Amino acid sequence: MKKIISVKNLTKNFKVYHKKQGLIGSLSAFFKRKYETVKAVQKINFEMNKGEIVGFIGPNGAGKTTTLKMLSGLLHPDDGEVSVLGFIPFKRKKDFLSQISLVMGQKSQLWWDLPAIESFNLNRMVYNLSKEDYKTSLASLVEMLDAKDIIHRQVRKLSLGQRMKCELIASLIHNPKILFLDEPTIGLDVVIQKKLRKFIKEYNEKYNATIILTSHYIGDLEELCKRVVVINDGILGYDGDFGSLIKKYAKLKTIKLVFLKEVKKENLQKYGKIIDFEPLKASLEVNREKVGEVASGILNEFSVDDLNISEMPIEEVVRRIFENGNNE
Amino acid sequence: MRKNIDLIIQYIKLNLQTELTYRSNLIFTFISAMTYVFVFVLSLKFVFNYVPQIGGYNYDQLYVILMLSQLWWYANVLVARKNFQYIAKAINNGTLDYHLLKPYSFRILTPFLKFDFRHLMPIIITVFLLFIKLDFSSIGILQWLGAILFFMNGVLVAYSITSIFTSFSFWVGRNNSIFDISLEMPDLVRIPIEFFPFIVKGFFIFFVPVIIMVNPTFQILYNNMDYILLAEALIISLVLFFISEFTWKYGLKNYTSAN
Amino acid sequence: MYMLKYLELIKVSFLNRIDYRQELIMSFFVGIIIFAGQAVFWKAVFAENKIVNGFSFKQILVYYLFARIISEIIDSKLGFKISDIINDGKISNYMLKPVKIKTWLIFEEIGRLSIDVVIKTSIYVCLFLIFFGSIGVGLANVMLFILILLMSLIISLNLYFLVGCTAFITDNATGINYSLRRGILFLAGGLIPISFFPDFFQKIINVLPFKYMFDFPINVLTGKLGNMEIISGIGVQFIWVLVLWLMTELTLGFAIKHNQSVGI
Repeated sequence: MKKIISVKNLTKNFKVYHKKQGLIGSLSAFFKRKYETVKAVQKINFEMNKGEIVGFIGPNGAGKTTTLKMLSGLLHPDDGEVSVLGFIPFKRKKDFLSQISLVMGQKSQLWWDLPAIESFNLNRMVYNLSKEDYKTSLASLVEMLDAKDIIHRQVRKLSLGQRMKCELIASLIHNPKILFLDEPTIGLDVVIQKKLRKFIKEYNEKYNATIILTSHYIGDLEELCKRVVVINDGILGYDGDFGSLIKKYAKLKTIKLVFLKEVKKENLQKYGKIIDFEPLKASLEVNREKVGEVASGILNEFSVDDLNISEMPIEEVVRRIFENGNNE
Repeated sequence: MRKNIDLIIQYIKLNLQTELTYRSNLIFTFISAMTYVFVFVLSLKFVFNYVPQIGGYNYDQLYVILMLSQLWWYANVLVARKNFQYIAKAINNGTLDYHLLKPYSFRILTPFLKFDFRHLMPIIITVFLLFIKLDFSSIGILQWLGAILFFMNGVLVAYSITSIFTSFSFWVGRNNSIFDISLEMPDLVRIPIEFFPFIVKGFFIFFVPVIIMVNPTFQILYNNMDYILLAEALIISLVLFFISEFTWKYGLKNYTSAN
Repeated sequence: MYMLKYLELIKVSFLNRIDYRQELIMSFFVGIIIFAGQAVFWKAVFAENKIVNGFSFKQILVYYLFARIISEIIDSKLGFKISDIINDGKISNYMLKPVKIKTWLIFEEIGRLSIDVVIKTSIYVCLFLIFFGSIGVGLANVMLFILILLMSLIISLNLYFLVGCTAFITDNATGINYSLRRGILFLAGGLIPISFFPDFFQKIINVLPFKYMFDFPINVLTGKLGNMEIISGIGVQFIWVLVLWLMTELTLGFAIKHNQSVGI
């Protein structure tokens, strides 16, 4: 079966100019500039089938967004091949653009001073949708995102979460076959994050859309992606099943505790590996599967003032992957 | 084609809607714009208190070319300045992305992205001020057509130049220079071609082409055409247009889509 | 030490400016081109007459040369900056730092100006000497000129500060900034010398602050004024320095109160 997305040896470099600090630095840079090449994406390879949801994870500056931008045609690759829906993205053919969508967390396409519905209507014309298709699509999206009350309000008067909902509607009104989501939940509160993840899943199931999602939260991917691609420093380090990734590299979670009464270190040791200890505070490393059990055990045995469970940071996961030299 | 026209109309509508949310702006913009005209006219009048004519031109003629240069400037603001300021910003902060992802011809839409309704009133007033001093009886229909054609040509030259400089934003970061420079251009655009000494004439036709902006229109209205200048105006306009298309396309390849 | 942070600010502003060298070069060319335009226009004026309103062609050119140089020094973008700060609500940022806002902005502006002034003034003067010959300015006049120019700078900064504060009443502050600057330039003698204005108009302008930004300093430099005129001129200039300073303090006080109550 022909792959809907196919990437071979994709490479992108950026020229950045290097300047020394201070007055001498600025004056010398005035006359002569030193450029250095940042290798944003280095020879990555992967393929996707129709209807897949793939998560791209990596720390900041890893090359996730750059890859996404090459897939959507915004950036010209320096080397390699890329094919999306059979098109070469950077040629930006209208037929190609009509079938994709890129949603960027911090950038908005909505008209600031007008109600969001005006921007949706503009997109209707941009994508040549018939009035019926537009109405159906709009109704479906508004219902899925529970946005009925906000689409007639001025965009600048919406909260961040509400704006994100409207951004999604504007981006999906034309029912794209391919959806690129760049850090869609960044800056949003936990409730909205969950709602958005649910929406993306529903959208994928309903329309069989192919979705690539970038994030540096593992939580984003847990709910949505069966398959993940891990990138760091422009290099692809892991491409495979999410469950296996977690089992292999993110087995552990961290529990941070604050106690009301002083505890003894020996009493805590049975619950997990102690990373930090003070009589009233402690941090433990615990296996993922055991977290619930351990947490309730601690809460039962000790007087706990605060308990916080956090994922292994993505930087740590990535470090472990690259340490192992795993290049599936 | 039909789709482009629909989109243009839609953009104009949305810009008007945006403008209507800020009512006080129309008045303030009107006052701002008229200040420029007022100041120019006064300066001219004051100098004419001391001399009967300047370079063979009387007050009325210099007044006419002054009004034409103001009209040229407002047209420039309407279709070029505001739009390319927006685009230059978008290139630098990456919001150009959304336009590049849409299946429409961005270049055709460019003059309408930020259609500036605030300047419509000053345009109308300036046209009225211009007509006060024109001798309608001596201007035939062909002259009107020619004048309008070359006026639009002058605006197109400014448009292309603004576009070329905006494209530089793909390579250099902050690049407001063209918008600052062009602000000073009306001072030069209103000078009749005969005032320019031979040595600098070429510079101001081919390099900083202020002479071809409204001088052709002025000459046609007064039936005093320098056909070489008219030809130069058309050729330069064409050349600049192609250069602007080229720099845009080439610049896009360099687009880094900042985060 | 109190002053150190402001000196550092000047330095950072300065660095910021030379970082954008293409902007610097461009703005230099703008100055040349504008001067060329003025020269072309006035050459036509003087085509039939050797002296117009007490000026020779050379003297008019010298006038515009100094107008250009002064313009580089006092024609600041401060107004635009203030408008932006008000519009974006960034005034809060400045209020959170342990500095006086106005002093901060003014020093930022001085840093920005320093390199422009030095480079461009030198080049303009050199080019003028090459193309048009001597300028004919005495040293004593230059010293007086510098003193007066300092006061012109203060007047200008305060004036443009006030212009920038129009952002409180409209969000089209940019347009207002541009046109008020043009109006100020006109009334200051930056477009044509004030002596070309009708008598009644000149009488009004004599008591307004604008003339003391361009026309007055230039005439002092070129020796067109007698001693009494210079002394009374400096007196009026000084009064305006105080008045405008007071006006900006009041406006800023209002701005801060407004921000605190509305909380942008």
